[in-house]
Amino acid sequence: MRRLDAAVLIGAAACVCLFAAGCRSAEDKARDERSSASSWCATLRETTLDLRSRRIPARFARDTFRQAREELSDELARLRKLSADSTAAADAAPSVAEAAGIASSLESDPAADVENRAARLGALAALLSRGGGS
Amino acid sequence: MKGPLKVVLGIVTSICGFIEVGSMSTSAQAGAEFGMRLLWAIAIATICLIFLVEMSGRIALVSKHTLVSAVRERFGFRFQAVPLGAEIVLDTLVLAAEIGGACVALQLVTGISYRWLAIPVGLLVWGLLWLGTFSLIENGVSALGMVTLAFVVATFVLRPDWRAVASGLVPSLPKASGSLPRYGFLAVSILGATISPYLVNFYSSGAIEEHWGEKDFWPNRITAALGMGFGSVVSAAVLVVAALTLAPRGIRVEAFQQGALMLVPPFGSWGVPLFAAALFVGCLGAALEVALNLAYALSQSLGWNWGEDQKPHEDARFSLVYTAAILAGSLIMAAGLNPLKLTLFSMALTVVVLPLVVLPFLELMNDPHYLRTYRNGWIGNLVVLVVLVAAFLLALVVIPLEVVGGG
Repeated sequence: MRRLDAAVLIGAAACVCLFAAGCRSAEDKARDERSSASSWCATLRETTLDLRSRRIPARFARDTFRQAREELSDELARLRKLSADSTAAADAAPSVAEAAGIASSLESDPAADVENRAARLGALAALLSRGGGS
Repeated sequence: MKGPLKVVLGIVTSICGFIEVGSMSTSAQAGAEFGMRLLWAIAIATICLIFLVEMSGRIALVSKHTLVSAVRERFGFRFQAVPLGAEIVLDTLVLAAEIGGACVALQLVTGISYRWLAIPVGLLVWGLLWLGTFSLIENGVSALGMVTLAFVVATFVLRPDWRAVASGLVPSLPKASGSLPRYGFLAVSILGATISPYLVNFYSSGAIEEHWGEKDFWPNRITAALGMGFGSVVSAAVLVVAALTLAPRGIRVEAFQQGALMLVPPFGSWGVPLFAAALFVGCLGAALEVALNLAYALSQSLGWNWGEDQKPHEDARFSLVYTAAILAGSLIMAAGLNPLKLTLFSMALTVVVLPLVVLPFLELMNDPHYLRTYRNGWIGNLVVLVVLVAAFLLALVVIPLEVVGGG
């Protein structure tokens, strides 16, 4: 009987936590997405610069650009969904779309216009991290 | 082998085999997101692990029982079915994560998707278990594990502020209150990655395989304390390096590609290959241990013949279990599950499962029938209990928040 009580208590606690988590606002979710997108922009920036200075293999950089494009595209889709309920999501969507575009262009031509791309990615990372992150 | 040499080898083995996909990814994420602030979780988990590993060696050398066989004998199979079932599910997930980690390491240097590498890596793990001996697995892979010391070297190359490192050992909350659930989840994941149930049972099974006796009481104690203690230094080094290289650049570790960038500042063009080598060797070693542990746990519970030093036809069911486990782990990865997410989830889940495995173990460690005069003192019981209960309660709160919150 005592075991049953403990199981019920644990189950109830888990349900409360699940409920609390389910109640996270669109703004909270948008903040997470912005924070993640900012991190991918920073990753793209560092990878671009490291590739130029030959500190990372070209194959690894290509793989990272592809991964970043996929992640940013997914985040863009989620932000667009949240846009109706969150101004933070609506504000972030164009920046994430631009970052995904840069990732895509880096995939096809990583050596072109490195300085400007890196600077733009840095600016996007800073912009997206405002209102998000730890 | 002479006593002192055996102890030194045991310590080196523990240090070089400490890092695996769980400790590497949780430490990297913690460092990238919260700087040095979560070092305390590694420290607390290590203290608990030292006690648990020492206990599992002690029960083997005094009672000649592994942890699983002693629990079965003492509490009966019906009681044992619950922790056994939980451990089988958890170990299968952890095995999949380790195979996934090894595959991602290869992806980092070859560019081939980890999904295509899952079966070949699974075959490598299986081949080593099928053809190898216990000492080959324990010492061979650990020798390769020297590469994980790259993180310790990187820490010194980067010259951290040691006061900041020391302050990370004191528990503190993050500055932004919104990041508290994430902070709690990472703390739980670090605890789960460090205090792995598989490690505890694997250690006691290894003690039986290597015919430890009461003369090994002190070597066991020294190996557990120094091996696990210094091993966790490698884990802490991953966190410190991530805090020094990724956090200032605003990079979080949401994929292993991001983690791989952490060794570029200290080592330049060697950074990515070194990260990949450390990840591959660590995961390969852990995959071997987890697969073996699954076979140990099931065989010891059901009274089958077991032992890695026996030929596969001498313990066919034992060999069949690790074969099936490796196949399951490889298929999970080949199906395309995100290895990093699976790793974090498995590590957090470990904390929920831990009490099921450890509480009966603690009861045994206080039983004079098994331990005679070598029973636990109150300090060991208290440390393990407090850490387990606190981690379990924290896990109950933060895991649902992380899963549903999608953080």
